[in-house]
Amino acid sequence: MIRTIVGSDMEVRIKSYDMRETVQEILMLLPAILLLALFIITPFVMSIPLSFTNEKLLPSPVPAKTIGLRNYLQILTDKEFWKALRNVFLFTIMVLPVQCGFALLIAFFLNRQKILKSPLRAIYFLPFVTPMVIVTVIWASIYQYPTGILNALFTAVFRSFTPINWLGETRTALTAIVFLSAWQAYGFQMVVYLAGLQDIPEELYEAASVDGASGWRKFWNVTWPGLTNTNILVITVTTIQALKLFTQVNILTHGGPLGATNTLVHYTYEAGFIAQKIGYASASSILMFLLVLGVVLLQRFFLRRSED
Amino acid sequence: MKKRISVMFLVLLLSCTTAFTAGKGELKEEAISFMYQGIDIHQAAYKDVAEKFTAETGIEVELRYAPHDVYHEQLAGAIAGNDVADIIQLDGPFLSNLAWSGVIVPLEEYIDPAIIADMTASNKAQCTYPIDGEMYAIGHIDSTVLLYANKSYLKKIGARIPKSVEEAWTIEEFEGYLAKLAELPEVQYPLDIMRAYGVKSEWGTYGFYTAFLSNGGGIIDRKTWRANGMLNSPESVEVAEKFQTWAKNGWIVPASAGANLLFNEDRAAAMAWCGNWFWAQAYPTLGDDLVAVPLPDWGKGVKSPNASWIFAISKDANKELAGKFISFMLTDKAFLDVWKSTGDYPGLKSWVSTDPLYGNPEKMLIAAQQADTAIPRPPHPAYPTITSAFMKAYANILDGADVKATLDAAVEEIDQDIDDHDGYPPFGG
Repeated sequence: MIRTIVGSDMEVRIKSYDMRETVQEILMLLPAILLLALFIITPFVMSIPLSFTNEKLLPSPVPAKTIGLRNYLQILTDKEFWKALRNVFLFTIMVLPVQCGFALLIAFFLNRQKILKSPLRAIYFLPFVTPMVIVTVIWASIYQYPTGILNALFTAVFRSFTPINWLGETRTALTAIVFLSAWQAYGFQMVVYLAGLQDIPEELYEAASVDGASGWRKFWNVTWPGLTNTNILVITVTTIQALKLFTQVNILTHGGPLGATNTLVHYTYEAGFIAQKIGYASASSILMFLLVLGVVLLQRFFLRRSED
Repeated sequence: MKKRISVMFLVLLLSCTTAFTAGKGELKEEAISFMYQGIDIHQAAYKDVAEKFTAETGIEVELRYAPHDVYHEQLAGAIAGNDVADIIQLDGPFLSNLAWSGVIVPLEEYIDPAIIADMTASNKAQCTYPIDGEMYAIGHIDSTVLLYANKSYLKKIGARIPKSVEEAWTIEEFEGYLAKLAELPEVQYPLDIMRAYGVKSEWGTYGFYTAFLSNGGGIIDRKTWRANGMLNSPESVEVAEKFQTWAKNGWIVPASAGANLLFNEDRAAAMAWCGNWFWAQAYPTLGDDLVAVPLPDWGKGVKSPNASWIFAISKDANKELAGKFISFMLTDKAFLDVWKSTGDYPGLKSWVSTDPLYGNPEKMLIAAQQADTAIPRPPHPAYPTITSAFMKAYANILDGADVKATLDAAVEEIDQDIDDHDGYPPFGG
């Protein structure tokens, strides 16, 4: 609101209108804040004291005992937990370039379309609106060993290729999940990149052409810097989503083979719902919260600096 | 301005109503809820018998389906959320856990005594809580796990085909046949242990714990209720190492290859280690080439698993109504016929004697005989932890992990849980 001093009357009217707007904005947000507080923040806060006990999932005649830091110590000395942590980081590092790179590529291609832009965009967005469960079923048959689609393809192209058990071997399982996840979720990043690409003024490209810049130089010197803010958003959002990896792992590999695809959420789920150790699972989820918080804060720090 | 206020109120109203209606629905006076799982044919059977019951008695039956693979997690969620159905199905070995937690109650007095008298001994055992000897559940089906083989492959390697459980293969014979089958060009995998089911699931425990027992090992000592000295005993380590060797040799069907390699077009697997339900799946294509073989004897006699999904009444239910529905369901001929048609294992004496599959020596008589070699999974309230620890260890061992270390870790998880609960009084341990 422009606060030019026209007269004290006008100023008072402007300020009280401001206040009314703010109050209305808060009231509009209130239902969402209440629901968030009730269903997400409150349970999380309640799980903090739980994490110091050996509480079980089902009611029990033997009351739960407070065991101090034992859950945390057990988690931090559990090889499976560190494997899950490592996997989640590896997954994030791998999925960022694959998913965002692919999304940018498609967005770039779509941006240049004139006629078929809308239907093509809808088609490319389809995997994103497909439920993850269905996506995993599709990819299970792609990765099937020994006669799945991928193995058949490689065998047809390379004569000496021996089929690989993509989901059953420790060295390929996580990468297989990366491509599956990237395929499902790239739609969101694609749409964001499309918006970001459209924001770059045409004049910059025209000026670059006048200067004799090649396609690649145009991309590197006009497009890429123009996408800085978009990139920040995309990287932050993709990282947070990647750290939460669960569904694909739960359906396809159950964290195997040998924990090669175990993730923090899956580790917590197994402890809480299968082994029924709610206290232990609460400790695990708190550690995960701290981890994600740390990563996001770090990202903000580094990305804000590059923004200046 | 007015428009803005009315929009705000609308938003508030909508969010309030969604918040409140997210709670549990209210059932009418004469109504019961029923939580269950099962394949489509069984689901349809439950629906049919519920409709019949409502037509006859006027009592509404609210059906709550949960998928088999996440059933107990969903049940735990319902318990934690205080929204347990009146009648809940459960997998037999979880009975002690639910009874000890006070979730289910003894139900003999609410059930038609004719059904109880008709239950086989193994069926009654899976429904009985060992502490007070009361029946906390009731069921009509039981199960077993055995070997299925492609007869022509067995003939090719000159294997002996047992005609009864007494003639079961020794483990040395069994391993010898696996090696010979591996050399047949048509056979890609001598043995399918159904890794496609997800070994890291109840199948992992259910399918293989009796191999440990048959060698003189086991999961947990059933007198002292300690896993140490049992799950990591030399006998148990031996069994685990054998399975690991077979996997390393490439004799076992990998998980992503599927669960039908015994009977699909290629017949790439020569034998399958699977539950009684497998016959109905394999027979249509294999026909007379399919033969049921008892589980191998590792040294201490053939030991087989048992137990299946049974029905219990939850503690806050209207018990008379629930008992009425269960009795109606288990005496309905059409209902029982559905389970006969899917090759399910009889848990009622009247059914055993008339079953065309399990009474037939050319078909599944051996499976029926294995009821005498059945040893139930540990009937203990810590069962969820026990099975979770065992299945994780078994899955990792198949993938090549160090056997002794993995079993030791599982032992620690189980024993710690029992200690945390002061031994689950009065079970002790």
